[in-house]
Amino acid sequence: MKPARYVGNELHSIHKDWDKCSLRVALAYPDLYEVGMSNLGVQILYHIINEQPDSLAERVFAPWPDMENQLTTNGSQLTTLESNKPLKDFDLVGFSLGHELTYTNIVTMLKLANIPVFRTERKEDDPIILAGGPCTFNPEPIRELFDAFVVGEGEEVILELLNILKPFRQEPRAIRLQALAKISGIFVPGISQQVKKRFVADFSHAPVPTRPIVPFIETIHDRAAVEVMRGCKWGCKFCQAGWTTLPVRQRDQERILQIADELIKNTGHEELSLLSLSSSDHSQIAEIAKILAKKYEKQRVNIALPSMRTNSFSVKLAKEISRVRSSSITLAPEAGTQRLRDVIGKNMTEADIEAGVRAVFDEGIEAIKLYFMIGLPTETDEDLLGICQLGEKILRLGKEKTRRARVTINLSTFIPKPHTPLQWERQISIEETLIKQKLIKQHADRRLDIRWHDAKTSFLEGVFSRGDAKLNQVIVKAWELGARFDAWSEHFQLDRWLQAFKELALDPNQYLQERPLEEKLPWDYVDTGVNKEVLLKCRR
Amino acid sequence: MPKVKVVYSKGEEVKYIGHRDLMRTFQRAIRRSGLPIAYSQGFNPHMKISWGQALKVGTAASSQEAILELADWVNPDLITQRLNSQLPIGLAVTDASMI
Repeated sequence: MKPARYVGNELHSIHKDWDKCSLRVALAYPDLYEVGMSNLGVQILYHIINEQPDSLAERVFAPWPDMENQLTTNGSQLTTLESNKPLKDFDLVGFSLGHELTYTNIVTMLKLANIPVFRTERKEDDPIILAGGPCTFNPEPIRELFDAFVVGEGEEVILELLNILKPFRQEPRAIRLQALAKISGIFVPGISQQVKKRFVADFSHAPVPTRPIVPFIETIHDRAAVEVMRGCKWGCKFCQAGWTTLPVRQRDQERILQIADELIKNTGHEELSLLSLSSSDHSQIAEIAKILAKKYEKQRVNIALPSMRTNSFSVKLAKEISRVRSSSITLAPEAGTQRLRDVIGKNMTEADIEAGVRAVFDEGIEAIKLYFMIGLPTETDEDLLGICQLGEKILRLGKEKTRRARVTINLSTFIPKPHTPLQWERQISIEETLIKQKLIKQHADRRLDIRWHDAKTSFLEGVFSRGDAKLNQVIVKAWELGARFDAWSEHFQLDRWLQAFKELALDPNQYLQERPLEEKLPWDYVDTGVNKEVLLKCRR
Repeated sequence: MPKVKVVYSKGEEVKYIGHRDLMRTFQRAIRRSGLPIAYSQGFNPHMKISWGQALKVGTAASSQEAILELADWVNPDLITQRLNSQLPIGLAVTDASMI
């Protein structure tokens, strides 16, 4: 129980006059406040909408089950933080969907708002329920829960959407939905046949909230953040973010410095992160980081550079700019052998890894975290044992420097994702995952700290990643059986889901199977700008 | 280094904010205000502030105290004014005095 997450009134939260706004949007995030408030997308949309004189945006998050019970018992509705209005009073409720395991929370939020969960059951006075975020690259598993989907970056499309809806406010739902379907980047189930991803061409000058809301309570990413790039040039075959955020765009140095300046002035945050999928690729990253570190040294603002490739350049840079000495560095070889790294397109050689690791230990950092996937295509026991060998080699290099060297190995299960060259591959079962985890644990040096993702959670994520429209019913059934906050181990129970599949006479395992190359995939109608032939070519 | 005793009120609007979160809220307000707060040495510098007794979550109170250590002398009235311009609704400094 943490009451502050339901209170609002944070610094820079915006409370507009309800009656003076002709279009009202509730920005919904189907996870806890602490998670949703760490999401940059929510903050960007909140500010873009609120900057429109005749529109307002307010926030609402998923209530933790204790709060949900309270609301249900009292017969209260779920309301927004800003004005305490029920979601039904809004014209539009826009959900931001970061990953598949939040889907049951969408049901909770709609139920607590007295809005029908299925789009076809909604009445004239219900808001339009919209989805955005990475999950919309495959709308199928949730296509019956939403009236419309925004695919890709939202900065421009949100304004087009507001402008189209304004004159149609009093029109019937059907007319409003038809109007939405005309916007590029919006998919309306039942009307649209296909959709093309949107992206902001002039990323340097895309709107940035320089007065973001500063939460009272500690959030997952409790910091100010500037996006320095979008897209990623590396093309790792398993990475959905990499393939769906193209083209690669970098923000001008001058603009980054200006944003950083305003953020620090307006938030008072003790940390400023320079974000992107691979910040080392920004041509001026070192200069930018050094300027910022020097400029804000007096105010003790720490400059953080997550997602840099680990090599002597990045380790030295991190040391030079960071006030807080990092206690550990992360490296993601993803696979244990060079053969398998080549198969999945991970552009990292054994020599790169060794050089990176040496640089880390040379700078006096004692802990290294390594990320690997198991269940990759063509993987054999040799590749799994390769993880142990690589871990041991790195530990040995560390021990040459200091007795206190520590190496952690994180194992996650490979989940084939839509719109990647590996979208046709098979995902391993829960049983196979456990066998592979066990093999590694048995053969690894005892001094290696081995951690692994829960096999059951990865299974469910895999089912929904490449799911089809049949899963809409499964989500609601699992919710009725008690499923909530499935990304949280204290709430997740696979049995509820298996029961839901059983009651609907569906086999979840079919979603993990290899897909024939000629088969039509459920998400084929979503055009990310990378066509299927390119993915097929890259797959080989 | 100069020390200043700050008396502040915690109103209804922020009564559900716990002590640690309140401390962080103050630290961020101080950073935004540009006041010359003193920092501890070392790898993880923190602002030199001593806090009074923690309030129970859910209680509002009128005269809470904190002592700030400054790197430079500043007029106490200016401290009150600058902090109040940065503190969120529900938190207000009612008095500041050098000790």
